[in-house]
Amino acid sequence: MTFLLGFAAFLLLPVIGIGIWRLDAIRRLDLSGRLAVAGAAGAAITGAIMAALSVFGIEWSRGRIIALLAVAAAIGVFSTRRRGLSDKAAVRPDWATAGIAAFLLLTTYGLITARESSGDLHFFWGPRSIHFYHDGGITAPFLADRNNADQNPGYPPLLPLLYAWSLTVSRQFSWMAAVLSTALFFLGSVVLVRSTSGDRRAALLMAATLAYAVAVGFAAGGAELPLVFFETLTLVALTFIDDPRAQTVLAALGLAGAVMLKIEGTTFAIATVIALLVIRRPVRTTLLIAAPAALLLAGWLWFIKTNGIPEFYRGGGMPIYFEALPKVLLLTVKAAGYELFGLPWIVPLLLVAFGDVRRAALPLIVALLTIGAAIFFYVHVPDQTWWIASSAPRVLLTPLTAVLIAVAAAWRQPRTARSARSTEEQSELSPGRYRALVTYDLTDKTPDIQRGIHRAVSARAQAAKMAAVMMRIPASNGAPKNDTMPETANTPAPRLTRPALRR
Amino acid sequence: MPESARAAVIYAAALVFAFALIHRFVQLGGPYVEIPRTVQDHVSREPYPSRDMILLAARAADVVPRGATVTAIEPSQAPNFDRTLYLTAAGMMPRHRVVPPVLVSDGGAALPQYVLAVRTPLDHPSYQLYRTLTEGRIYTLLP
Repeated sequence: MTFLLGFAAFLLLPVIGIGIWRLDAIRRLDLSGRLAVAGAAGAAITGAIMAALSVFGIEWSRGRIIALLAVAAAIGVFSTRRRGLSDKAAVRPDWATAGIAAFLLLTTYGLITARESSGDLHFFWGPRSIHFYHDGGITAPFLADRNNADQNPGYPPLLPLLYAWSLTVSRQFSWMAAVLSTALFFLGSVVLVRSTSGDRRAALLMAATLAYAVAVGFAAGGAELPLVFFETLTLVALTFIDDPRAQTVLAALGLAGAVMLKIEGTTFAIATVIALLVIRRPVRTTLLIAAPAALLLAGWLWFIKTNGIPEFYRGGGMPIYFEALPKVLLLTVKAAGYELFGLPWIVPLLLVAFGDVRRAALPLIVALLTIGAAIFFYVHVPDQTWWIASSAPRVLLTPLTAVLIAVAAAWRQPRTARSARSTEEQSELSPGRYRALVTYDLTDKTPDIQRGIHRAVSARAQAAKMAAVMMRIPASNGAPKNDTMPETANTPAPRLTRPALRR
Repeated sequence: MPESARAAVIYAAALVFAFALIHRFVQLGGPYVEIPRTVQDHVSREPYPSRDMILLAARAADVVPRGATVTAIEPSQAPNFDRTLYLTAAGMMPRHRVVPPVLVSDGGAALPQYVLAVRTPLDHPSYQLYRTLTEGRIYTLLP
């Protein structure tokens, strides 16, 4: 019963975060994608509410926490209930989807039979969570106690908060529920890629590679898979989601979750900001995406500094052992081989090379920078053999995930086709009505009729821009041309042709 | 590269990863269809001492008086005890004060009131056997 209740707490996270379905771009995802995004939002809300209680000095209790989260869920349900959802099937039967299900089963087997468990779960993630629960919140004296210095008290608190939430539901900590939550974060990461990119085969490759790498790295129950989940959310938002508002919100959510999970989440956030600047995304948007993560991190650093809690954020300021660099590189490459001759890297990099590398620039830059960050931290210790062997397979899950997302990005459909599909879905007209209007052959109609139909589409859908994408308007030379929709209905109506309108 | 070739590469890689994963599970040893007692049971073919400590600390939580200072060791590792054992015990005994494994009174620091020992017995002039359990032994500080 303890296990069932403890695990059910993780299953409730999407319900708590369902309010994020308000975003149009999320509503257009299939059910699995929507659940994954809501799960990320739910995890963030749960962590935020539990942390806020501690900040305001309110002791945790089962009633308080459940009541507050129920209110958050109710607000979310209320705010989304009147909005339409995509009618895409959550799972379409095909070989790639069957493959993903097979790897989920294999991973679940490995977790249930305790073949993938992380030592860190018993060494500090679990103990910290249990002590938080018994102390009724995040307590500075416990973290500052020198006897607990080996528990990495300066590590950010999101995972212990989530485990404390599980403990709140079950009343007794279920180690197996914590281990098995890894399967949810694993599935969530794969589903995010599948749902946002629409590339089921790339998602299968991600499932297969991550399932194997997590087993080799013994990452289950640690913070690595939740970190991968939030990192995936950031990267797929920036790579596959076109809607600017949703892109900013999801990327910011992903970065905030990442920095609150592990110190490596901060290096990922810095890498993402650098990558965004390199590929010339607007600075304002980049700042908006990074701001929540920066604020949360600043708050946490202020907390640990004012309470004298040991931390490792300044590890980069320690002496560097340049003479150890060749050894560090050798050991890191060996660990990165994942006992399979580097196949987890070779396959995705090969596929990226045969795709359009420019489209995969963002995840590839992030992968490169996070590998560099790992090596940078490793050269700060004189003898790194044990450290690299024990941590690199887990630390490198971040760049590995980025490379796997790059596969989907490099083979992504051209923008025109995707825009056309999403435009239809953005319309507030019924799908059938919208299609009937925009695919209606107007070439033989008078300009007045053309203008009237065009006005109907534009007015109902507020879709001047949408219709411009859907309606392939013949240019003066007769070649199809996009994005030339007139700004107002008073301008001469375009001539529409049926073949060009079809996808 | 056409999409069909890409698909072939992905399906082939997935098969390789599946076989590698199954091979790995087999290598970690049986039993293969049994719920383990701890989440550390099969992370190695030979169970780690931390797995034994999970079981011992769970029992000791009901035996050792609440609030007492406790540490956890494998005595044969003296004097460089594996610190992960006391960390493991800390999660299993939240009602106790689990401290690092320092069994030498350096500078007048108080020794832990109880010591959980797995695998080998503790031979220490300041401690006596308190309880023997199937999972290990519990020692208490001499008055």
